[in-house]
Parts: sequence; structure tokens; C-alpha cells
Amino acid sequence: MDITLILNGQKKTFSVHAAERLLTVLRRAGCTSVKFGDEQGRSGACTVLLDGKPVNSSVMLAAQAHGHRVTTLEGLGEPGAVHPLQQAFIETGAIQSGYNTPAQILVAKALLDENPNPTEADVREALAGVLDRETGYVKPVQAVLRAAAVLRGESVEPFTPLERAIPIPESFFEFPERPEGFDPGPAIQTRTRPVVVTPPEIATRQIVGRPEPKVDAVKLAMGRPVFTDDIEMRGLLYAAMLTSPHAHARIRHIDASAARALPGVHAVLTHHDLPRVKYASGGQTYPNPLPYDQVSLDDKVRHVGDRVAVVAAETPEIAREALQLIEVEYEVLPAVFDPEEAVEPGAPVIHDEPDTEGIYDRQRNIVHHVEAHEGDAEAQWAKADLIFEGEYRVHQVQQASIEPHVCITYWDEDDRLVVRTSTQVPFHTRRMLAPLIGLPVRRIRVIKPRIGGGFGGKQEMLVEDLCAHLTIATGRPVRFEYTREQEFTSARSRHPQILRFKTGVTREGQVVAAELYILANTGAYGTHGLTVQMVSGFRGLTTYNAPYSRFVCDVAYTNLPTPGAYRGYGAPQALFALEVHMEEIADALGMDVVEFKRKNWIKVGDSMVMARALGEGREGFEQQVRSSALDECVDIGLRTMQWSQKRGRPGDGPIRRGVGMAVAMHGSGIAGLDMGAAAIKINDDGSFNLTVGATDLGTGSDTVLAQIAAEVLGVPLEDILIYSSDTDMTPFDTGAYASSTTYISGGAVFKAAMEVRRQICEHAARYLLPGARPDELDLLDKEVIAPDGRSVSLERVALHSLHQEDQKQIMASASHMSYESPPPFAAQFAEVLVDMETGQVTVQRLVTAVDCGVTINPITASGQVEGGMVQALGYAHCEEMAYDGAGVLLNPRFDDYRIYRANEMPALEVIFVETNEPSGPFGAKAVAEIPKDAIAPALASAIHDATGVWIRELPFTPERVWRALQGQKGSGG
Amino acid sequence: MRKAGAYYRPQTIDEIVRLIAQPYVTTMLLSGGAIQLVRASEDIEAVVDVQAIPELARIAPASDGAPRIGAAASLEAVLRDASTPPLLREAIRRSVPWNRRNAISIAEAIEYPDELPEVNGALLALGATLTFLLPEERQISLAALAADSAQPKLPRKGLIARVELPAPMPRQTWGSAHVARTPADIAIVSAWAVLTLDAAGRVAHASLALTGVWSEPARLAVGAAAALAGAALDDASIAAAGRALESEVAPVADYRGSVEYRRAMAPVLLRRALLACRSRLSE
Repeated sequence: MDITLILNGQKKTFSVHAAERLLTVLRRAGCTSVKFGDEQGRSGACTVLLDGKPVNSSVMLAAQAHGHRVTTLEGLGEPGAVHPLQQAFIETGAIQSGYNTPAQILVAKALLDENPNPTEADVREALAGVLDRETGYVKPVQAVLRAAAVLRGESVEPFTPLERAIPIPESFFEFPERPEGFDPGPAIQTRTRPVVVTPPEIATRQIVGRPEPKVDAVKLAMGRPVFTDDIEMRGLLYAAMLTSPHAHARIRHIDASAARALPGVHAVLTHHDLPRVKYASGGQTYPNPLPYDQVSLDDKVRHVGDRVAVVAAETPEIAREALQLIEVEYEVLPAVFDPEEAVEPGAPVIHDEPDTEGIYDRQRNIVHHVEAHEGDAEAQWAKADLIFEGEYRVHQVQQASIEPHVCITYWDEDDRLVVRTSTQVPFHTRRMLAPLIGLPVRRIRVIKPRIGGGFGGKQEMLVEDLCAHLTIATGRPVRFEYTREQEFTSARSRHPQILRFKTGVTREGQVVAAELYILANTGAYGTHGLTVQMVSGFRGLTTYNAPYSRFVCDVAYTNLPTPGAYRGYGAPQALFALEVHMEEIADALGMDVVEFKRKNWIKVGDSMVMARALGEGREGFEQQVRSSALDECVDIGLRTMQWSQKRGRPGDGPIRRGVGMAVAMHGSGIAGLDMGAAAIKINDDGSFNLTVGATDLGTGSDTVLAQIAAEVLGVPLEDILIYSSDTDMTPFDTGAYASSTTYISGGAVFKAAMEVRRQICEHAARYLLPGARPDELDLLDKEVIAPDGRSVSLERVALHSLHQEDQKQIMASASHMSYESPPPFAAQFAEVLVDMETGQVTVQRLVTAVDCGVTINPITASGQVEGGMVQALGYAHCEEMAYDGAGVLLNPRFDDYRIYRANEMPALEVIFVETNEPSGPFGAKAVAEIPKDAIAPALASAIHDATGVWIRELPFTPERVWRALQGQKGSGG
Repeated sequence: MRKAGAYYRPQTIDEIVRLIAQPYVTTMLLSGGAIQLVRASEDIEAVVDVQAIPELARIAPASDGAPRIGAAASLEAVLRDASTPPLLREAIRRSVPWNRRNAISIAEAIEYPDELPEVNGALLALGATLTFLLPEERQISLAALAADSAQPKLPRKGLIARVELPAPMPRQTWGSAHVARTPADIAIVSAWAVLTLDAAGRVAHASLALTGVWSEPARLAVGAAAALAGAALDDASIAAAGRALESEVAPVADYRGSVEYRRAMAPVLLRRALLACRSRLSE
């Protein structure tokens, strides 16, 4: 049937199927700003305006829009110019990955069209229908309010959301009290100026430290086609995957003949059709840790959602129909989901296949067993006057990036396979993919476009091998995108753990010995099972760095969907347990919790006791703390929270108030393992191309890396043209994980830029500034400046060196790795209301004071912290993968899997306390993951402050809190 | 609904009658979409979009002020209409974000109460009545439709014309309470109360609905309401209502809350809803 839309002001006719959704028609029409987030429209990424009203285009028939006005981001503003909303999103740093930015801007447009003067609560209400996994909503709200002012004709200050402050102004510590009760609307407060506390010894620089807009902000604000799925390919086929309905079963028989016979189907692949090549899907450095317990398609399934078969067809609808025609006869096997049961003798053996090597104890489903210790156990335990033990349990949560895993594969004109994919690890993917598809690495090119969020979930090779197999089978380009349910059941998640701490302390409160045992659940496959738990052990035993520390860990296979890398990578689990345990000890000793922790936390000059014993999947390296502002972070956080006025004053009645705190330390890359490389060359006009293998997944790393280069080369940011990452075109990088990009890849950029700078100075001194010594020259404001005041422009140097004399390309590449992983530190605080009758916890305020060294870009850094805090809040409070007794996930869709929305957020505040990390580029450390680490224990601390009960298991659902309160009543507490 | 091969947008009720009378065609009457299209069965062959029919989309209060909501009216339109009772507004605003409110009709919310239990709780407490045009013209209370079923039993090829609510009464008060994982999350348990008091301040009529404590997503608490009848709205009668409620709930566990928890929450939230009613009386 034909429909007519007034699409972005132009009358257009489209041929559609009756059941076709508006989303697909719009994308087919080139409106790629309209994004897929989920089949139910709950993410809101698919939002468009229908007659000026926001609607979800993924749950609307295209035919329903017939005759109506449809507005997408492509229709906003004047051609070639950004709309004030887009400008405000750019200026305020409201864009991270940019995947849902078009939807946010459109709902904001609808709001401002009918209410030019909205309150913050109005803005939050409007944005509530667009899930944001990245920003914490702070900057998008600011952007809308700023755009509203501009559209009202008001003049707005240049956006300088930054106070470099010593000392911090008193006004910073003033926070409006929020009324009692549960209405989050009118009382929401957003602090608009994150503070950077900068010690005087840290130099002010030209580009580093400035809140530069992201280098990719304009194209993302305009909704340009920058994501994996935003290209059109002639002859594209659509893949769909059949997954297991059983938690544990053997495929006795599989018949794909009917599916293959369906018109429009080009390939159906089952385990009969693919070679059995063993691998591990985790995107990790060579050699990937054993065991290689996966094959692309197997004759056994080990969790609900496991791979069974894939189809490539002319349309997504045909592909899905074909899946239903695949006949599978399963022999259902007993399954086990609880790691404590899985390691018991007699439990079902999940990996009974003989060709998987490296499983520690196959019969007991123990894939890894780790034991490590440092120090003199006997002597240290002998010093302990008191020994405390505690058990803590953490659960499984999902990364839930709004852009699902998506990949397009095709043959290029040289018969090389191109893999365009949303991945955090393009180079690992190329290397890992090669043996699975039987092509040498040289015949594979992996291109990473912009990514719509990753959070570790895309540090796996999950879709690329099957997509490639389908292209090889058909000779056609193939697109493979997970459904939202597959994101939950077939992708990755955070490892559930049972953690047991045993800590020895003196009567004076000195920690002298610590042991941590972890029983971790790695689900059906090993992938990151070893490395995540080793990080848990390292983080759990290093923050307080007991002279004797011991870590023992068992990693169990179960029949749950497989956990893997998720931002924080073992630290959020360990630090929840550790920080609650430490506060319990302080309570028992009758000590102030802050002072007890301060007495014991690791300090500058301390060696990290477990650094050598607990590397990541292998032995690590000795490390020492060389920078820390943890003391200052805690002190500033305490003042900000008005801790002394609020702590220990819960009030009475059914609603109690509590404040809590916890501290965290993380790492900056993986010591001795991560490596990044960069290449820089000068152009005719004195601008530079910077190519990096580092992967910007919305974090702003392209911007930060470009700022480092710009600072060294004395040019404005717009003169650095950064490109990342493409295995053919850019140097190697291990990828975006482990908080490594600023520190490791930034180190490579710094080195490459320094070498280019050296070449520029040498050429200028020799030919253009006669008599000058190269090492005396400075680069500033696009010029080479001699001490005597003479100068020559970079453009002149470029033209001279490229065209005129002693011609050469001024260029350099550099690699960087480090045997150090300097820890960023943070103090995190929470204020909550607890309903004593229902157990409902309402989080009112979260504060993070963080030392990430020098903040290269405070806007992108504060965005990272804000977004991380909200993910951490979800982990602590409401997100949970819930299963029935057969291992079927009960909540594989948004809202059932609860992610905070804009209209229910607590106030978020971010404070940077800078240090100068001597090993980091311009003194920088990492910031990406540490905001995830201590929100859960801070919430536990606040709930304890409000109620007097400790809750040692996540998340803090109403029922869990209620049961704890009931237990308190029952015990007379 | 991959098989759907036809889409119709009739302009009159008669056209609908003609379209759904087609033999051997499985038809969906589409009034909104955001829920219906997701939940639609695979065998749908034709879609009849009723949103263009003015009388189905209109919200026009009766002369006595009683809200009359066209079945195809979006939840956003209901939220914004001046005749919509505050209790229903509260339920809609709390449960559904703006873009989804624009894409879900009131009829759709009723057809899938498990998706929007709080909206149904508010409608039940407010005494909503549905007027069907097809398969025959009739009126039925939402309470009767919802009783003893996880889903309201909408007749096959049935067409709701409108949702009617009683006119506001003098000395009427209302209140609600809920418990949820986060402030805007779907409630684990919620209570919705509409009370009419007589001149002496006694409860002349109580309409109490709860979500999350029966197999039905939302249902009237008849026993608890009876316990209030004729009583002053004091602590004793509120406690009596809570006791009555305890004996009539029959929760079903899910991952949000166990049977025990839901059973414990029911009287707590009913008390809070009734206290809100009492508090509103004194405003």
C-alpha cells in the first residue's frame, strides 16, 4: 500500500506493508537519526514527532502516520545550521555516544514548542520517555533549559560549567533541603557547575583541562549516519538467530530444510554447517585466557538464549519466519543455576565436551580456581586483636546499551571481508575472528563506526563470527542485530558473586590481615570469568592493603546467560562487600567510620601488596601509589553532604533519612598488558591528522586524545583531525576497556605528538628560523616561536617541508604501554529516605568526589562520572536479571528491567580533586569506571544510617529492605 | 502480525462494522498501538485503525460533568483534559512517559491491564463504565469486565466506544499509595481509593482498588470497602478496612515481590490511601 507523509515539511509517498512500522520506513527514507532501541519502544530511541507530538515510531504502523506531519531530527532547524537545541546539546556536553540524542532533542523540541519556559521538572518529565544509559540526564536537562532561554531571546552566558576553585566557595556546600515524601518532581535540583579543585602546583594549559566540546558533537547532534546500521548496502541480507529455549540440552536433531526452502532465505547455518573451532569470546589480549569453551554453533546448548542457528534472508520478517521453520529436537538435560550447587559433586556437568582444555575441575563445574597471597600470615594474624568475618552477595545486571550489538559484513573489491561492527575491541575482533571463519588476518578489515554505548558489553565478539559466516555462505552483505531480548539473554552481563571477607584488626583499628574468598558465577561460558574475578580480588584487597592479604576464588559454570565485562570489571562487586565490611568493623570497634577507613586506606608511597600476585589473568607487576587525593575527596564530600549535621539523625516515624559514604580505588589500564598506538602527520595548512586504534564508545576519548595532541602541538582543537578506529587505517590498540584510553592511548598520542613536535622544531630551526636551536623553540597558537621573538607559522613549516626543501612528511607514530596502572580514587556519598513500613528506598542525592589526576576535559569527565553514578545506582537499587526455575529470564525488556528515567533521578553532584600523576599524560589518570565502584556501599551505609540494619545483598529492593527491617523487629533490634 | 496484509482507517462506525464482518479474516481493531502492536497475535490479517472516527477519539464531559472518554483517546489527551479526575491523572502521569502516553489509547490500557495496572486501579476506584458498540451495544462496568480474569474479556471483534466515569460528587475525596523499586517504576502494590461521605461525615460509598495483590492486575477490594461503609473515616474504620482487606487478597508472586510481601503491603498502602483521602477532606 502507498502512504503519504509530510516528512520534515515535504510531502512524500512511500510504499509500505500493512504491518510495517514507522521506524523502518523512516530509516529506509534516509532518516537514520531515528534509532532502534527495543521492540516495545520503551527505550524511546525511536521517538519522532507526529503532528508535533512525540511518539515511538517502533510501535506505530507506518500506515497510522498516513496524512500526518512527521518530524525527525533531519528536519530540525535550517539546512546547514544547528538548531538552538542542538547547539545547547553540543555546548553542555549532553552528548556522549549520541545514539539517543536525536530522540532527546525531539521531545525537547515538542516541549519547548508548547511551553517556552519550562521548569527543570517539566524538562525531566518530557525526557522521561527516552532512556539514557550514558549521561545521568544531568547535561541533557541543562541543555534543554539553556536552549529554552536562547529561544526566548534571552542572552546566555558562554557555557563554562566549570569552577576551578581553591578553596571551594562556600556556596558550593549549600544544598537546598528536599521535602519529605516521595514526589521527585518539583524538588529536583541539578547542580550546573561541577567543580574542579586544582592544587597550585598543577599548571594551567592551553587545551588540556579546558571544557572543549566533543570533536564528534556536531555530527551526533545533527543525527548524521555515523553508527554501524546507518549505511545502505546494495543486496543486503538480514540475519536472525535462533536461540535455545532450554537452559541445558543436547541438540539431537536439527532440520533446516523447511527454512531453507522459504522464498527469500539465502542461508541457514547450524552446527552441521560450520567447522568446530574452539575459542573464547572475550575480547582480550593475545593469548586469550583459557578455556576456549565455545564454538560458533554447537550441538549442545548451555543456557536459555544460547546460539542454535542463524538465517540470512531478504528481509528481517522472512528471516524471523525462517527461524520458526527450523525443527530442533532437544534432549533436555538437568540444569544448575546456583554456583554453590554447581560446584557440588553430582551437579550436572556443563562442559562435558572433551575438546575444551583449561577447565580447572570439569566434574565440579569449576572453570577457574585462583589462590594468591602476600605477606606473613602467621605473624599478621597474631597481631590481630579482633577478627571479623562477613558474607556478601551481588547479583547479575546487564550493560543495556541502547544500541544493541549490531554488525554488517561484506566482501570488498579485493575479496577481503569487511566487518563494520559496534565493538570496543576492533583489533582483538579481527584476530579472534580469523580462525573461526578460516581467513587470514590480512583478509579481514574491522571498521568501528560510532558506537551507541558499550560499557564492556561490546568487549566481546558476539555477532561478528556468525555474520561473517553468513556473508561467506551467501556472498552477500549481511546485517545482524540482536533483539533486545537477545541483548539480555545472549549477550553479556555482570558476574554474580558470593564474597566472604575475613579481616584482622588491632584494638586501635589497624587492619593487619585480610582474606577474601569469592565464588563467582560465570554462567555457561568462561570468557571473562578469570580476569574479572582477579580484578575483584585485587580491588577488594588493595584499597586497605593489609600487610598479609590472601585471595581464593572459584569460578563456577552454571546454566545462566554468560556474564562478561561490564564497566567496573569486578570492582563494584568487591567494593560493595569490602566497604560494607569495613563499616561493620568500624561500628563494632566503636570508631568513626571515616576515621577508621582513613587510618587504613592506601596512601601515596605505599606499595600495593597484591599487585604482583594478582595481575589480570596472569602475574602482575609491583606497583606503588604515586598520587592520591582520597583524603581531600572524602573531606570535600563530607562537607558537601553536610555529613556532621545529618549523619546519625534518621528522625522517627515511618520515613527515615540516612547518609552514607564509601571510598573506591580503581586502575588506569592493565599494567604490563594494555598497549595503544597513535600516528600523527602534518597537513599543508598546519593541521594534523591523528589516527588512533583507541575506540571512542561515547566516552569522549577521541576528544581527549585530540586535546592531548593539540596541547603538545600548540594548535586549537579543531586543527586535530582524529580518526578511530579501523584495522586497515589506524595503528593497533587493545581497545576501550579497563579505563585505559586516556592513560594508555593518551600516552601514545603524547609520545607521537612530541616526536612530531621535535620534527617541526628541527625543520623550522634548520630552514625557517636560522640560528635558533630546535630545543629552544616553542609551539603556541599555530606558530613556532623562538626565544628571540621570531616566529613562523605551522602552515609555513608544513608547506616548506612538504614542497620546498629537504622535502619530507612530518609524521610520527608511537606506542605506549605501562607497567603501572595508577589508581584513581573516589569518595562517594548517598542520601536516602527509607520507608520503614514498605522497605522502599528513595535515593535523594548522590555525590562523587574523584581524583582522576588532571582532568583533560572536565565536561566529558563529569559526563562519565554522572553516567557511571546512575549505572551504579541501578546496580545497587533496582536493576536485576530475574529468572524462573528453568533459567528463563523473566524481565528481558526495559522497565521490567528497571533503568532510572529522567523524572525520578536523585540530585547528582561531581567534584574533581586534581592530582598530578607522574606517569600519566599531562598528569592524567582514568575516570571511566571508578564512578561505578562505591555507590552500592554508600547506599548500604545510608540505609544503615537511616534504619540501623545492614543489608549485605544487592539490590536494595523494597522487599529485601523490608525483610531486613522485619528481621530487626524480630530480633528486638 | 507479520501476515497482516491490509490496513483500514474507517471514518464511521458503519465502516468498521462492514470491515470486521469480513469472513475468514482475523482483524485487529487498533485504537492506539504502543501496546496492541507489541502484543498482537501473529495471525492478524487486517488492521482496522479506529482513531480517525471523531466520536471514538473525543473527550467530552456529560452535562453533569461526568467524564466521557472516547475509547481511542490517547492517555496524553486524557491526562490533559480538564474533566479527568486527579486520581486518574496521577495514575497516568506516574505510569507512562509522554511519548508512550501519546501512543496508547485508554481502550488499549484497559485491554492490557497487566501493562498499566495503576491506570486500571484508578479507573476501577473511580467506577469506570465501558460502552461497547460491537458486537452489540451495551454498557458494562470495568469491575465486572475485569473480575476473575488476568485480562479483561474483550469480546472478539468487540469495539469499545467510550469510557465513562461518574460525575464528581459533593464530599468526595480520593487518595492513593504505592510501593515501587524506583519513584516512577510500575508499582509492586498500589492502592486507589475514592470515598463519598454523607453530611454527617460518614462513608456513604467507598470504592477501593488495589494492584499487585491478586492474579488480576487490578481489582476492587469489595470487603475492605464494605468495612468502611457507614463508618466515620477514623483510625478505627481505616484499621478495620485493612483487616478486611487482608482476608480478601490473594497475591501471586513475581520477581518484584513475593506473596508474603504483597500480602503485607496491601493493608499498609490501603491505610495510606485512606489517610490521603482524609487529609484531602481537611484541605
